[in-house]
Amino acid sequence: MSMKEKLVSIFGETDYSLENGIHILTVRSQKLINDMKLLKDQQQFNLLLDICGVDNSERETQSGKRFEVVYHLLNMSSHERLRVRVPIESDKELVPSIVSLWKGANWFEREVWDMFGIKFEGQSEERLLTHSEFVGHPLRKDFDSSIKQTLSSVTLKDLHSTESVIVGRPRLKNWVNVSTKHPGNYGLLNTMVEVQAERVTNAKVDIGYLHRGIEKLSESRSYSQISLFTDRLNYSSAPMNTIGWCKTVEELLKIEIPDRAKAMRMVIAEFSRVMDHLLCIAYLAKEVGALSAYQICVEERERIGQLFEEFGGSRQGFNLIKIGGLANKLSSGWIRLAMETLTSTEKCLLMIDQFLTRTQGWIRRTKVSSISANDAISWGYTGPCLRASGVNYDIRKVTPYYFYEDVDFEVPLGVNGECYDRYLVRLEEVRQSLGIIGQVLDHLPTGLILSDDPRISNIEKSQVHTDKDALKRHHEHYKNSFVTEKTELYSCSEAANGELGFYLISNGDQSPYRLKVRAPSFSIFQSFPEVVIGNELMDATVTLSSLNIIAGELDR
Amino acid sequence: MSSKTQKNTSTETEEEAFVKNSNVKITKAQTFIQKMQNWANSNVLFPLPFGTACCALEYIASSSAKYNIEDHGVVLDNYSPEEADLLIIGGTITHKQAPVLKQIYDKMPEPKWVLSMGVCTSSGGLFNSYNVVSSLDEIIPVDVQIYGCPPTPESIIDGVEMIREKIRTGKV
Repeated sequence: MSMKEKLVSIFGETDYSLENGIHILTVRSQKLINDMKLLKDQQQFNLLLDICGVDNSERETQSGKRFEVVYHLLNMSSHERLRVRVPIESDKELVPSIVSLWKGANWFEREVWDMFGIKFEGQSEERLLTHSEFVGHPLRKDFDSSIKQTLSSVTLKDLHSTESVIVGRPRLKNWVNVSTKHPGNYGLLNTMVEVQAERVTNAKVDIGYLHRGIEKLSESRSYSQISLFTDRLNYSSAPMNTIGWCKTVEELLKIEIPDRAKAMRMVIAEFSRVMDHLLCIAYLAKEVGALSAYQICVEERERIGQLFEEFGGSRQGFNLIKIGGLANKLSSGWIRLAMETLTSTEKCLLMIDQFLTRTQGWIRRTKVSSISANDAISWGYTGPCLRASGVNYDIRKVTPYYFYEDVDFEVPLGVNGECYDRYLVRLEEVRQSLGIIGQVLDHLPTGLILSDDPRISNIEKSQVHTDKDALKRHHEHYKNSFVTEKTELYSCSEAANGELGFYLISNGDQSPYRLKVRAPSFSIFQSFPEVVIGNELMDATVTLSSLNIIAGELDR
Repeated sequence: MSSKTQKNTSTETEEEAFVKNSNVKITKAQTFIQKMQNWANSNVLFPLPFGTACCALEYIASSSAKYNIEDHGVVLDNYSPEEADLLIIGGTITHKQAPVLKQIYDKMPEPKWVLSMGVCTSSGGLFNSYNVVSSLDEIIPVDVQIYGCPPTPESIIDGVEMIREKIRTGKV
């Protein structure tokens, strides 16, 4: 019995549809908790990917209601994705909270309140991404985003609350800021832990310091302009995000990119995965005090950065990818340079192995903060952090895109879900990535690097000087973006931190009606208090480093 | 009594007023000391890298062995504003972050200089949205702005050299 038949038999024909490879269910908000429980327990939709709101005031829907809360679920055994839509009449209506089913739902629901003003039962109405004096809900269609709303004073939350102070006695518990010696290390996070006798008893995190409003901006930009924003989501592995975004738009336009572009995208994606993992290992090593390993990793990153600079002009890998293929042709000698980088990265891995993996000090410091597979799934972990807990789930393996099914690679798994496992998984993934790059470069297909679909490709420059019509088309191409059909789409790819998903609603315009970025860091970081409680204070910073939170994709 | 009222009305600082009242001319020795101070300040800068986003990674790169920003007088990263005299801001500043930045700047002792890296920091760059500060000058005074998204380590070092030149010539 296929998933479609199962879902139809439970929910009926009218509430079910299948669009772009994703099952869609429409559920009334009163029945939400029951239905979600059913989906989770009986149909094995056990991973909550994303919750987001949609403002329907400027588009037509079947239900005709103003708002919609959209849930994305993943079935980890059949690898199918499900979208549950809950239409809501107005912001007065309360939506039941599903935190009891998935712990990871908490921040998602708070974000929906912050962005749309949709209330959830039992959820706090505290701002999550915007600041405390913010007025309005930015992602509503009637929000005036030209008004700049400044914050008058520092509102680091009242973490030094008086509850832990007993008057006349020495303080038993203290709040300590562990996020950073400096906010730049992990982007901007505010992470506080409460410490009693060197042991962490409580923790609080505050995010939104790098909330740049990418989702709102995207609603007024053309599809190709949005790739500038996606480059800056997870900036330590920039091209990978844009590959995910371009893949989404190509699925929307239903175009197939040339083989050479596919292969080169794989090479660039794997190189940026190496970059990302090396940065994570570097900061983990710095936190523990292994400064030589830190320097080795940073230097190796530098080498890959040069490779990107050679290819597209940007050291961090911005603007390498374009909708329909690649932005640049391969320069001569690039492949030789890439091969040399592979060799040097392999040497670097050996050195890290020698410096860290078997060292007693390293093992003692990093064998902390264990998270079980059950908890990891409940929080919505994806990527290396999920695999470190022993769950074998990698999008490149289970639903391969590009040529991932043709290359030979392993998915490394951890056992205990400790920082040490996360480190080992990342290290091994770097090794596997190098293997993938080597295999692809050995068999790099020839041909075009950009699809010849008229909507995205421009005509040959030589024609422009001689042909009047060609000149006109050339101008049109740069003046207007392509128009897409009305549809909804969820596309995902395996980014360095986990599943990077783009939920795109197109209303037939030049820009998306709504774009929601499902960032892996968002799910992972909200588990931090639970993971860190019970450990020693010095382990808190190590744990934070091992989770590899990047503020750019966390806050968007 | 008269001297007091005089002091209140004038906009000069206490030191300048003292020099004026006591008819002491600025001697060669004083200019020399000032020059020496400027020279010393320009050669040893204690930066506070306030990295918020992508630009911070380029600052890390510039302090790596290849570019070695320490050759250019930027001594070491120290993360306490009380001990820093150069604030290097790299990355987007959001409205939630702006008061924190202001607080950090206020904590730094005089004399202090500010280097802003990248277009996002100076003007919001491509993030022209409801939550991004569009002009850093409204929060704190900026001495040197480096453009680029993100700027390369070479241009960061160039910016540092511009700051040093400003300090050396006493134009700040």
